[in-house]
Amino acid sequence: MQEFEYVAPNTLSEAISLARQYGAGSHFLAGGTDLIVQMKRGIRHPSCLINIKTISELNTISYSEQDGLHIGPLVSHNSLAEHPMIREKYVFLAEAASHVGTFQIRERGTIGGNICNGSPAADTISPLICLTSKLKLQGIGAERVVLVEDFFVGPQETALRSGEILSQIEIPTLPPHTGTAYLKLGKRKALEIAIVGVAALITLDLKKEFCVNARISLASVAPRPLPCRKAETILVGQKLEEGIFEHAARAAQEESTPISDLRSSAEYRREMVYVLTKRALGQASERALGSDN
Amino acid sequence: MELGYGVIGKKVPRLDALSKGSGNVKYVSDLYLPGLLTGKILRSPLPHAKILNINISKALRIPGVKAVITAADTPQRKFCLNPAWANNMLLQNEKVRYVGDQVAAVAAIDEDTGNEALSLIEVDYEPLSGVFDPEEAMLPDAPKIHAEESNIALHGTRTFGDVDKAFEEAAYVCEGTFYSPPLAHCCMEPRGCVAYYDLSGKLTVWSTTQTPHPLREELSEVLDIPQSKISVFQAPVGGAFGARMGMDPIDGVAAVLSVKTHRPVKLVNTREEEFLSSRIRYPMKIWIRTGADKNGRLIAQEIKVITDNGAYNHEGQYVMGNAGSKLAQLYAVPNIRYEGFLVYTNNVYGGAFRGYGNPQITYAIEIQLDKIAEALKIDPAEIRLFNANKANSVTASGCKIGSCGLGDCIETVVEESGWKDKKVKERKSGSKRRGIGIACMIHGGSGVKFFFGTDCNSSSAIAKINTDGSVDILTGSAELGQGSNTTLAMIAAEELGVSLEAINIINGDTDTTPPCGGAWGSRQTFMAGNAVKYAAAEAKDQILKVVSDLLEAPVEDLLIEKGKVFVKGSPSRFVTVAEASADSWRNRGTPIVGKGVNVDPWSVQPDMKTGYGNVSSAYAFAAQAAEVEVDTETGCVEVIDFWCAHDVGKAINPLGAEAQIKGGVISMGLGYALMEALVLKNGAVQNTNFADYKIPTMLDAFDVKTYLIEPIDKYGPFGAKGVGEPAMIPSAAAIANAIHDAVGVWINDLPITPEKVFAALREKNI
Amino acid sequence: MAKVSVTIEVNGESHEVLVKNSTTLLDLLREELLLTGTKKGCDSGECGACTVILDGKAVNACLVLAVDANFGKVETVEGLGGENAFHPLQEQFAQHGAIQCGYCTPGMLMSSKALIDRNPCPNDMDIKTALSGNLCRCGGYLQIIDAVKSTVKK
Repeated sequence: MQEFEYVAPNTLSEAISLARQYGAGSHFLAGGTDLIVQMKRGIRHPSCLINIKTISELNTISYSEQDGLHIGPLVSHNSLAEHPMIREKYVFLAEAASHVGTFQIRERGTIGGNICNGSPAADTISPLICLTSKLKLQGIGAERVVLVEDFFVGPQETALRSGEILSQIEIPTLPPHTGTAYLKLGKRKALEIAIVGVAALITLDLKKEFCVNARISLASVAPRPLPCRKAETILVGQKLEEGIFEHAARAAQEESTPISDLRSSAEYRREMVYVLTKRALGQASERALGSDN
Repeated sequence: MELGYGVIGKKVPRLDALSKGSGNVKYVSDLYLPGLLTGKILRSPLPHAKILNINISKALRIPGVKAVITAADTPQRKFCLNPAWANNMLLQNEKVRYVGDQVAAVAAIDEDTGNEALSLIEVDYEPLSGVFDPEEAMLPDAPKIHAEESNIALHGTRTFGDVDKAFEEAAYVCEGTFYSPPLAHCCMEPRGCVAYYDLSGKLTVWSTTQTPHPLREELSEVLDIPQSKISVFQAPVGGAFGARMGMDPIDGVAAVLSVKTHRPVKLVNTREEEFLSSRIRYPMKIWIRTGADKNGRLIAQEIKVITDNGAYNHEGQYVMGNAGSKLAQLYAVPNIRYEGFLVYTNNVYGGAFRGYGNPQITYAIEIQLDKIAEALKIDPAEIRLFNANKANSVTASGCKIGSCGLGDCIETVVEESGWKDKKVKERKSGSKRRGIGIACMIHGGSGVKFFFGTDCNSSSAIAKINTDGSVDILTGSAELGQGSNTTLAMIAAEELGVSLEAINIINGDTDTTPPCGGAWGSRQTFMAGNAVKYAAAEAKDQILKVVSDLLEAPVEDLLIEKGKVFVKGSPSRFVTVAEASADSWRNRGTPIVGKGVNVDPWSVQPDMKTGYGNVSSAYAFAAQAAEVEVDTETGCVEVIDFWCAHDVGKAINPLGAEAQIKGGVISMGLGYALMEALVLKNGAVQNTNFADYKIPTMLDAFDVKTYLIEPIDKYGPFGAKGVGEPAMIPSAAAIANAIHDAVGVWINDLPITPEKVFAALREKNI
Repeated sequence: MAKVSVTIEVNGESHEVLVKNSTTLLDLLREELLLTGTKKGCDSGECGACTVILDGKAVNACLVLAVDANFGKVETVEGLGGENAFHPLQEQFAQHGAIQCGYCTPGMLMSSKALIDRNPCPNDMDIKTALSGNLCRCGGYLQIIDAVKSTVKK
């Protein structure tokens, strides 16, 4: 690895000042499970690493019916995967987190890191998009909130500005009769980057007859994580009758723009968008139907 | 008469297990010597190019860089495991022939300095056209990789019987083409070496080799240093599987760096180098045709194999020959022909890899057999039983099959797997479908004789009984983690009649141990084991002579049990082994030392013209069955259950044998079947890490039920044959046949990825 | 670049070591403290051979910067057993034939220890998940699972 400066601030404002001070060559260090590998392989060359792990306010999870779920960027994937409240109320987020890398990577890697790495294949981003999550980005004397799906510009490229830090992920409370699912396709059961990943969310009306909200988001099939608007509109306001998930899945397939790479051909990815979207919608609706609240 | 064994046949934990588990065992990369330098190799980024000039001056100026070498700093001798085929060099002097080829090397005070030095070595290349497909490389106008006129390194044909006539008479003929890709060994420990050329001119090498004595010979040859001035220590090895067979350029380059600096040099591959530039499983394209009579009896089989040799020779001719030799060995096929082309390309070159050509050919043979079974409406297990080779028979190619448990193996997996119920009679609908498949294999269970072009499959050992009753066994064999030291200790203990704890195995040190071919060809239990048994027997004779004198009883009346020597029937009047040894040394001036040499007299070099001959003293057989579930919408395959019946002759250490089998199936068989392949683009490996080159993880593991079949081999030590390679040889075919049972498609091209299954199902409109 | 001092507790013993910012915890353990039990298999966090327990969590030491582990508590395989005894995990691994070449073993042991420290009654899936980041090419997976289960039973 190329040498670099290293600082470990104790507060958020200190961290932001340091980022401003060291400029575009600086990089925040959370779990490091992506960043350190990239530095070893010469893909990233920060001149300064700002270790934010000692900023405890960034490592919290809180939930209330009113404010929804607030997750700090330093929360590890395993913490999410094992958190009883998240497993209960936002199960596909826990499921997605449990699919990241390997156990050791999940102990150390964070949701903030996953988001800021900006990979279109990232597991946790698709559920966040379906949840209409917002990202709080803090700079010096300024704060802005960005819809998570607007945060991604291109592969490994985000809208985070120099001197800004992702300080919180805000997720609204889910209405009753909401079911979610995350499905990931790979060749083996660990240490896999998704060939295709699909997150789905379905909310039913109070009588559980109609779909009142549907969200679908795909991983690994476009330069950025991909929400599927057209597919969603096919479902909203409809009875969940036979064939409707297939119809929505076809639309999602058409919205996707996968490429061929080491892991898969574009054609196979397109086919799997259809299969996984259909299945994820099915699972989400089953969970919505089975929900008590 | 089956004797009650005191030691063998018991499940014994490996003797080195606890020291490995405590982190105290030092592998090559753990070794430190005073003044140790770090070696790094500069590798070619181009697949084919002339080296016009190398400028090392900038690299030499970096503080902490102690040496920068090119070919000119070496004797520039060509090397290969078989010197007759030598065309590789430690550092290339005129051309580079694959991406990753060695061009220069540095010795520096640490890794970072070494890397910096590498980046400052300036090489002027003149790029040449490269060729990456063996079939293209065979064409007359293909770029020539070596000085010869053709890129065909070897072309040979072997015929036994009247193949064409038999095909004419066959009631059913099946033909197909199969492909096995390049694969990486993925030993958890990267290849590496510490070399120290001291001021007295003695070279000491600690290496991850699996063949210490042959390595010493090769180093001597390539460095022009006498063998007596070279000591090779085999450090504990973190997996081998053939990767460490013979000299690796790392061993020679580290030695040259040490010669230059007179300091110890440690040279260890990065994981990227392991994938990019290290020997692979030879990729093979296999066209195969099989003819059967109306009853399913196989009467003719022929193959044409095109093997991608890669840029340099190593073991391609033997691997390809071994593949072809399986045609008559597994099933009693009377008419066979195999033609092989070994072709140079500008790809990374091949080497020994568990199975040595056998997994590739078994995949083709076993799938085609299932196709024949389906066409003739014969059960796949039945057709195999029908055609299986039997004990005490001779094959069309002259292989003398002694013990053979193949029939028992097949019957065992059929019985234990519930084959008859699980075999699909009518293909179901539904997105997830299950099926069961079977595959068999034969492999040399004792090493093979076609190696090196000489009778080199031999082993020797020395047994010293100390005056306290402890026993030192000196053997040139190699412990790779496969448990051979434990097995050899058990053989020695059993032969001598002493406890396992009394045995001390000294191995892997060319200074003190007698020569042995090393660990390959699943040979050590058989070859080294017999050598150890002979050495122990000779030492035992010496003990018995002493006790015969002390107890005034004839030698034939004496017995040794649990370290006590006594007249049969009178155990209370005894002399301990310790007492006998002490008496011999102190009162008679004769230490107890036994020597054993096993030259494998029951096999022969095959006839150089016809290929006829018994190449191995013993043959190991196996049958494996896999139950899979196929997701027809995604093409994903999951292995639900697995059964393995292996003919091991006699299981010296059942715990070790089972570990080999289960491990081989899950970590290699499954990977070979479903997920492993190096991806090369213009000769450059694209997937150079564990994320992109996929081997099975613990989450991919499934239950493997093992059954050890013991027909007791006449020549093996206590009847044993090897099991190391057989473990994974038929696994991919069993899985492929199970997939076909489930959904009616065969995938001839490994690995069987979900994408391929999906495409095949689509084509069949499933 | 100048070296910096880190203080780190390894297997109960405190050490003060000079490192570069780029030095990983793995290299600190192996090169500076000569604790070579923790292995380097890929240096990229993919094989798990370098697994240690850092502040109670099983992590890949090759992805942790030494400076980032300042004031941290590390457990390595060398600290598993006592003075004259082996840890039950080590004994069970040996008994079950779960150690072949031994290179993945230290990592497997530390992942296993971290597991049973936080979950005294793991089921098969818990074990497989906890060890999903430890690759083994000799294929000891089944024996390792049995060894962990045996340890827990005892």
